[in-house]
Amino acid sequence: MTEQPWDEKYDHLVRSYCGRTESQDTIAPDIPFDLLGVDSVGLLGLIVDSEEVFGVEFPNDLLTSDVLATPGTFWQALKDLMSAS
Amino acid sequence: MRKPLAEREGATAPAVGQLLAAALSRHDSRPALSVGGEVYTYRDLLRRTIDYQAFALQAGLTATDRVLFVAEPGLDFYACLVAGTLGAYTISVATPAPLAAASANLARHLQSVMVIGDVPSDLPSAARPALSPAQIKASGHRDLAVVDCGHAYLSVTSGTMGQPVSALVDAVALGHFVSWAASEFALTAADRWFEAADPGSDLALTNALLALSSGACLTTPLGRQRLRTATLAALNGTTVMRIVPAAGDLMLAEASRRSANLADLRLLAFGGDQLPAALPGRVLEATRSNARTVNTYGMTESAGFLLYHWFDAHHVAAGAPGATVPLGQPIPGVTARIEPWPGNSESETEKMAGVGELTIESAAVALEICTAAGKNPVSRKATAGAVAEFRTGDLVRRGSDGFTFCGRIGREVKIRGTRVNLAQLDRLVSDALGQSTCVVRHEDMLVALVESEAPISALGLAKSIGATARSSVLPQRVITVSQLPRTRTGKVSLAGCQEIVRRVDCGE
Repeated sequence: MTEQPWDEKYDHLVRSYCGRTESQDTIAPDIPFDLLGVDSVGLLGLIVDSEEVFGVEFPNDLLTSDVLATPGTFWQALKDLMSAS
Repeated sequence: MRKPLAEREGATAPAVGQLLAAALSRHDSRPALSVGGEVYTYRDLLRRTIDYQAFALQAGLTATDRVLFVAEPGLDFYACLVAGTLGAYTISVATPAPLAAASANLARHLQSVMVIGDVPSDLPSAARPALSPAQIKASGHRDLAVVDCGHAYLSVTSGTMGQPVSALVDAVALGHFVSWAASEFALTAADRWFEAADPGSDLALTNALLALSSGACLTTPLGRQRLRTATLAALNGTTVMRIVPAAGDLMLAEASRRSANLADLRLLAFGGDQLPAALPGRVLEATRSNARTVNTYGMTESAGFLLYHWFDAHHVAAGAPGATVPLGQPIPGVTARIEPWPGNSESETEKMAGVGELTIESAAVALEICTAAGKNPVSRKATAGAVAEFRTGDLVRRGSDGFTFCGRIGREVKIRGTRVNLAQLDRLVSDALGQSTCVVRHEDMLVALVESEAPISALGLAKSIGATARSSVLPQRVITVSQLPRTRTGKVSLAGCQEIVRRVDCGE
């Protein structure tokens, strides 16, 4: 199994919103959220839950298609926010 | 050649271009657009529209040239829309995101595609002109030109498999609609309209024309900022919204996590999809709003919406579980009736209960509808000037509140506001899986039932067909069976497939 570039909390969080993954599936960092079955409501939930779990606040200007493209791009933005705070 | 406006039969209302031109000139220093935090006045929009008219003149475009402008939402996007609606060219505007899926077939619908600004490269043609907004130079002209070419714009939707359908909308019919709706909704220059849909969608185009012709301020969030529609609409002091039900779900989910107070919202309109009866009341409660609520029904193939129904959100929520808000009565100038449709034995019950196909007679029906198979001028009734008849494909029943939606004819469904043909999805999934027999059903989510001895993952399937179909139409679940149920004639039984899903869900 490939090692994930993120921690367990994030992995658990992303999985909880993926409508198309089984527990044994590895979530690749570069697979688009929409292919994973994460729709707009799911993305919103992921943002809010991430804010709670990681103690950050997502500013509106970070809500871009690039940031919310894949689990990898979103994780990178989360890491940057955590470093900045 | 179409007749000048004054000579056209039934031309009792101004064309939409005249309404827009009047609003642009009248409201001058008032805010017209707020896009991603940038605010533009009506004067800004007027000047930029004049620039686009001058550009069209220099480029040799005429009112009948069909041009798709692809741009990110912003001043240029709306100036393109207004210039086209005023008759500089036949406009179709789109934002990049939903267009990529439609790219392969756009050439059938449009003569020219122009991309404005830095947008993704997988768009229609490698030879397309890419324009920098700076190339649309300030013309120095002061006056708008309004050309009556008969049509207002060409709306394009990408459909299930990226095969667009386009509809050419009549300018006078759209003007009639805009005048009526602005009065019915009591729109004024004091209104602040928040756009929660993609600005290139047909629902959003109608919204934009309504807001701008009333002198209201139209606010459009950028990209994924729509995930915070409730928050941004509240911050904006929004007074009017017209949204698809899926956007209402999103607002509800957002407001349950973060408080959003839409105290200024006075009108919440829905459209684009069937509206669950419980949703509007829950949205109003979650956003602490006392807005009036109205449901609207129209289709891509029409100018604006055709049926409407004012309702008390708390009253309809108390109805039967699973109920939907009625579509209501026709707007003035529209006749609606129920026609029998060629059903099958499974639909006898519905036929008995007064369900039939909603059929519209109106000048608001598109002049021309173009599908992958080619252009189809819509036949107009000779005795009634511009009036045309259109069979909508929607099954309805008539009641005390007008028409109520009961489903689609055949296997078309609506998913998050997008028309999806399940038979097309069957073929797509079947091809991806090496010709396995497959039936896609729309239960709470899209479920693919596949004849296969080996398990198939939904993620694997999504990866293999994700480039061909919109993400929202990819099955979220796959059920494999050794053999799908058949009818006596050997066809796959759709009712039998529904029973399989039920059994799997019950753990049988």
